[in-house]
Amino acid sequence: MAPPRSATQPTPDSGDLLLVAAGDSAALTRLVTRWSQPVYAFFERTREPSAATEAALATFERLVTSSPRYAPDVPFPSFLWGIAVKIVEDGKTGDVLEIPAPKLAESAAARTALVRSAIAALPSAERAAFLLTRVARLPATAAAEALGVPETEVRRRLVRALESLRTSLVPLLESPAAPAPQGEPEDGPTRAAS
Amino acid sequence: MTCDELRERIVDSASQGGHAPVVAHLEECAACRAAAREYGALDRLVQPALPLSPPADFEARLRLRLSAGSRRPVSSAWLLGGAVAVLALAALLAPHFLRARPKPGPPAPAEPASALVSIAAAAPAPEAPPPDIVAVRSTPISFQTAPLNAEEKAEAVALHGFDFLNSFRTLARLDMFFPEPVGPRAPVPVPARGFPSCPPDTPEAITGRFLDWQRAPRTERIRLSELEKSFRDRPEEERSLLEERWTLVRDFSDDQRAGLRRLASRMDELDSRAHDRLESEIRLIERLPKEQRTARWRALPFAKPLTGQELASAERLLLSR
Repeated sequence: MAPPRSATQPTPDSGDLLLVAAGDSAALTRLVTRWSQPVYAFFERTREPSAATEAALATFERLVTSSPRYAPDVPFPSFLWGIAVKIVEDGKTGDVLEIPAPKLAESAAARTALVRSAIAALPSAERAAFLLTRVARLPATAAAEALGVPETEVRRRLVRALESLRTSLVPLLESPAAPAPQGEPEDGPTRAAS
Repeated sequence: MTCDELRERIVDSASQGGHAPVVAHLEECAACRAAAREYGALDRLVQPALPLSPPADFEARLRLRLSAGSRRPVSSAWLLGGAVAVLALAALLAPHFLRARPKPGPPAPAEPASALVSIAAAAPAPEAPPPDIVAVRSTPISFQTAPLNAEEKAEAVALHGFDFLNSFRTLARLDMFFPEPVGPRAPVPVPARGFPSCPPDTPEAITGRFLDWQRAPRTERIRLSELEKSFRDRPEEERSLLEERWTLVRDFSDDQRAGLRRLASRMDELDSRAHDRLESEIRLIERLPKEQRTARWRALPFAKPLTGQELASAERLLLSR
């Protein structure tokens, strides 16, 4: 994952977004090159890959369409992650999957599915705080800017999210199996016995 | 320091305040020690071991979406760029993947779709117009008489294979012919190159899809789009399972697929007891050596009234694994 860009770090992103607003196609290519990976990863932790791609595309689409309203004194990361958060908040809250322990032990895909469903089951405000700080790796100050709430509120939401995940991910916290990255080589065919 | 205050401190490494009160609280509070340990474990759990990347055609798909959204309030220059991207994509792809009219001049080098869209979008204006007529298979297609607009193209490339869309509901009804029923379960791992039913992702496939879409009547486009939505509305694990089933039947002839549809309808008519009995019998047949399966299948009471087409479809399915 690309390193997070803090609100104070000088980047060409703001300038490129202004160029995008003026119809500069190459500037869009530069923004996509720099930001598509972290934005995709942000969504991939709660959705399967095709849905994560759709959400990332929607984020960039809204970024372009809202670019004429972009004020350069707003840090670009806050602007971009603010859009991503809106999409998270618009998404429906799911249920935590119930996957048998033997399946979790043998299948990385099953563990990934459980992690995704547990994060997706968080209330949207907590889910957004969790994804911004733990997946996009923003500091609480930058997450607060993107969410439009005080920093203390970000920490409260984060604690609530972590407490929920402690409960819903008990099978993985107690299991010696490794965490489950998407596409982990160990996975292979994991058909359960019928 | 309360437990809540401590937890709000430890979730943010940049939080202000000395360490001493945190350490003092942790020394005394077993619950917070457990929480601190598990917060760290959760952090590790949600981090993928491998970097997560969007698909290679991400930018191309973004540009198609932006072109399709031409009614949105963005600058006219940007909209022109989107239109140029779509037109130039057609112009650049056609000479390589379609049988174009002979034209003088060297052919352009082949490029992946995403690169083509990117280059096309960055170009100030198309230097060469798209070919006016190209021939695909045996049917001449005119880009000038009935071109797809950008929105239609975006709609077309988002669809799964049409044959798959026409078949997935039947596949969902044929549970007893497959090892696992469609329903809640851990997802089927997606092959590295995706399932063969996936939306087109190569320049050749995209061009073919545009041409198929161009020929499709409006009612057929609506029907396929509704099937696509119906498929995408299913849970992820069901979608993967159905796409995996499709790999077994995609080479079936049209007649055999029709046989499968009729077979599914006959099975729907069974009461639950007869259905369960048939499923047990089929499970037994699947364990037999392949050379014994056909005879055993034809001996079933269920198979007696079936047409030759239905029998043959079921037999091919039984022999496919």
